[in-house]
Amino acid sequence: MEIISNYASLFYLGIIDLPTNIRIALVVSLVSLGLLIFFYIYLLTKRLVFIFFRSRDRYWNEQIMDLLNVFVSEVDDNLEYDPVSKALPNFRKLPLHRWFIKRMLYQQILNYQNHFTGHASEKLKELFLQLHLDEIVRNKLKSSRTPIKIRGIVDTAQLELTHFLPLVKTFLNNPSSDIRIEAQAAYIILNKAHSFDFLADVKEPIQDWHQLVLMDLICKIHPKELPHFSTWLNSKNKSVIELCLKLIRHFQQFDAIEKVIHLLKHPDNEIKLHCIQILGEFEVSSAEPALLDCYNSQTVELQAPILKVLGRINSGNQLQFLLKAAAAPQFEIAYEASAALLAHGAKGIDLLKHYHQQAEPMNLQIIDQLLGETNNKNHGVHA
Amino acid sequence: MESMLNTIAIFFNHYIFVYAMVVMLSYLLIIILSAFEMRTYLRKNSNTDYRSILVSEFAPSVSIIAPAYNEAPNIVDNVRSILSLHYNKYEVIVVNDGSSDSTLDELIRAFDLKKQNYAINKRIDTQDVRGVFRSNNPGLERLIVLDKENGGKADALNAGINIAHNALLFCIDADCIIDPDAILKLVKPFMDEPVKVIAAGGVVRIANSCEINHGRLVKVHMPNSLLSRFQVLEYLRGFLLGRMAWSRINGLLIVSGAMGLFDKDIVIKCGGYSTKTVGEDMELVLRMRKYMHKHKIPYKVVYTPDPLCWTEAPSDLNILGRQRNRWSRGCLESLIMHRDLFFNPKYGTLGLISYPYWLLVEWMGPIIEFIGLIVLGILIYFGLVNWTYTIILLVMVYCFVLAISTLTILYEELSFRQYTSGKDLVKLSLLSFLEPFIYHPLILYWEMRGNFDFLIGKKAWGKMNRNGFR
Repeated sequence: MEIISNYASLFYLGIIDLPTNIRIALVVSLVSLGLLIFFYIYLLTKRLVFIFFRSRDRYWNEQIMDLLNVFVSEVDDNLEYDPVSKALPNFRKLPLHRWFIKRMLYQQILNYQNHFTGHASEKLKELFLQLHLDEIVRNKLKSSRTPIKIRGIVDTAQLELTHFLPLVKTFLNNPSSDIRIEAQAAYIILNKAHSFDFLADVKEPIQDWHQLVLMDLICKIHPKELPHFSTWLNSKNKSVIELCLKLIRHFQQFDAIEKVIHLLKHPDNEIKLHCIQILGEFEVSSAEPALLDCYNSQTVELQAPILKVLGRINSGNQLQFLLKAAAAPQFEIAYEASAALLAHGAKGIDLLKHYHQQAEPMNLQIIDQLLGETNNKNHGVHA
Repeated sequence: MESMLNTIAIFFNHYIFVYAMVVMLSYLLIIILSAFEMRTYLRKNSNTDYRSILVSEFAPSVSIIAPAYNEAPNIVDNVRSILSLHYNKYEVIVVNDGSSDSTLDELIRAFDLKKQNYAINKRIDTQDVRGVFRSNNPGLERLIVLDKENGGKADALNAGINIAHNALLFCIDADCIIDPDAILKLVKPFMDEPVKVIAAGGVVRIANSCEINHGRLVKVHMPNSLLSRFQVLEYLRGFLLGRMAWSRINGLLIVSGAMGLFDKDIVIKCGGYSTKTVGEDMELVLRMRKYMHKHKIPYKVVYTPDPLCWTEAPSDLNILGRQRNRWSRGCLESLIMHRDLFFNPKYGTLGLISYPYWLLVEWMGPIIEFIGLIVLGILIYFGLVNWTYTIILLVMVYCFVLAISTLTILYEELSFRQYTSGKDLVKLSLLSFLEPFIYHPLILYWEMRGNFDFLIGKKAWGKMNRNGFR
């Protein structure tokens, strides 16, 4: 310490008489040089530590994987046989007091459990609990660091550790969107009887990405009894309505049609668009008057999908309306209306061909393209 | 004469020194911001399962637009590579920008294309379209080839935008190697951010000497040529430090022309790519951002640090010179076209931080450095230089630059670790020591040439010969 202090005073005395900019330059040079050396030491240490841990972990990973391989191979469909109690002493022989070995065992059981289903998966979970590794999950869930907490929630969901449900529930409206999404996904898995209860209490927006993840999860686990998602269509949270509309569409919940038609009056355009798409997908001819009602007051972004839906419903009642729209000067409107007419088959095609003679150049191009595509399809050629 | 030179020396000693300090301070801030952004990104995406987007019917649809000009030797492989990207809802629009070679014929032959009646919604003005081609093969229904009169890259992209059906535009260079997961990773921010995302960019890396098989990157290697190696370090610094930091404060002014994902609606409302500049990528982002400010719509331009796009760096001095000349002109043209942003509080971060930084540091920095070198030469000639002080100042700049380059290598090591071998790491480190003496003066010269060419009104892109991937 004294040496450093001596050098510092020497340096100070040496530069005190220099111009200010030269003094600053010297200080910047020294700091940069110090940082440069630090970066190189850090880089080198990082590489060496990586090599050390890799070789150390390799040995223990092999030991753990051997034990797990034996365990999994002994698990069979015979429910009388208890591989867990047989294997436990072997696992307990591992020096689990050493933190890194316990962590490796934790991670490997999770990896194995992820790759097995049925009886083997259940027994791996039992082994996990018998080794009290769920304590690590509890610590992760209680961690103040977001990435660790998230990992804890993900692990809880993977192993279906239902005893942590109350803890997971507290994260459902967490300010961190990353924690929220994992908590909501875990809740759906852990609370099998009332998987979707949380939708009533969600205060924060569920971003599109999160909706996608939840949809993917719901499709994967496919609960035996799905609720009526229309229950939450009057939610004050716009994203909950969007998610429910997507779920209604995906799970074909026709009983929601009335509420979906009613939602065409919702002030939000994205919600309206979802409703229009559902009505098209379900081919709800009774929705035509409602769709026509809202058509005029909408922007092109919503008018075009409405026309598309009318083509899909294909009732034959709106041909004149579609023909009028096919002559519109806006490309999107003219295109969707012409395509909708085409979807009506011979009647629509006749009307288009008739209109073809008096169409404006842009509308003419559209009709030519669509008729050309139809011809190609009819001849077994893709357009 | 001597008193005038003394005045210049005093000016450089004081004002330019303060300028240098401000620039160094801004680099420090960039380092800190990029560290935070990198940490956030890696944490946020460590558990992400991109398969959710891949299979979802609710994922946004993407139109990939790849302009091609005289790329006959590689075009078929490149299009095949684009067609095999991991995404469910996308179409590929290859725009043949009036190539004088057999680019179109190669495409027609390889993909069994037939000319079709096609209605084009000409929302953006472009050169005349000669025809639209689609394949007879049902397996290639995603592919559309548009043939048009030559009008440059921006015009070709605009023509592609006019026939794009989907909500997002993935604009790429046809000669780049795109990571198969690139769309998945770039689409996520569009669905994940609480505010509207108008554009997303990713890291562009150097593919020279890397192992490439059927348009896919198999193994990453350090380039064999020294010139390309310098560019590896330069790209790492620019993308891992610079763009990450700007992304953190939503101040990105550029999404690389080699690869970017854009909101089609906003691009069209802004009038598409400008054909009046050779820096069309930067200019478009500036215009889109101004549009959002003007309409008071909260928005973000985001940046993904994953290595998603691999490009062939020029390994020839003349070609590199032409490229850098064009970049300088493009940057200056964009800055001049949007000069109303300068310290304009109406545009928030864009007007008060990003634009002034680009003008005062990115554009003006090389000019001041160049003038400084000339002044130093004159002062040396007249014997008015205090060598001790000069060396101290040069050592300061060298140490600072070295520290930043080393930190960049450290970032790479801690994040994506593409150069895994110890040898590559040593090579990169050595490069950082040599770069200020060999590579930097060249870049400085080309940037000055770019500024000069701008002044004399040069508009050409400059011929870019590529060796192609082997």
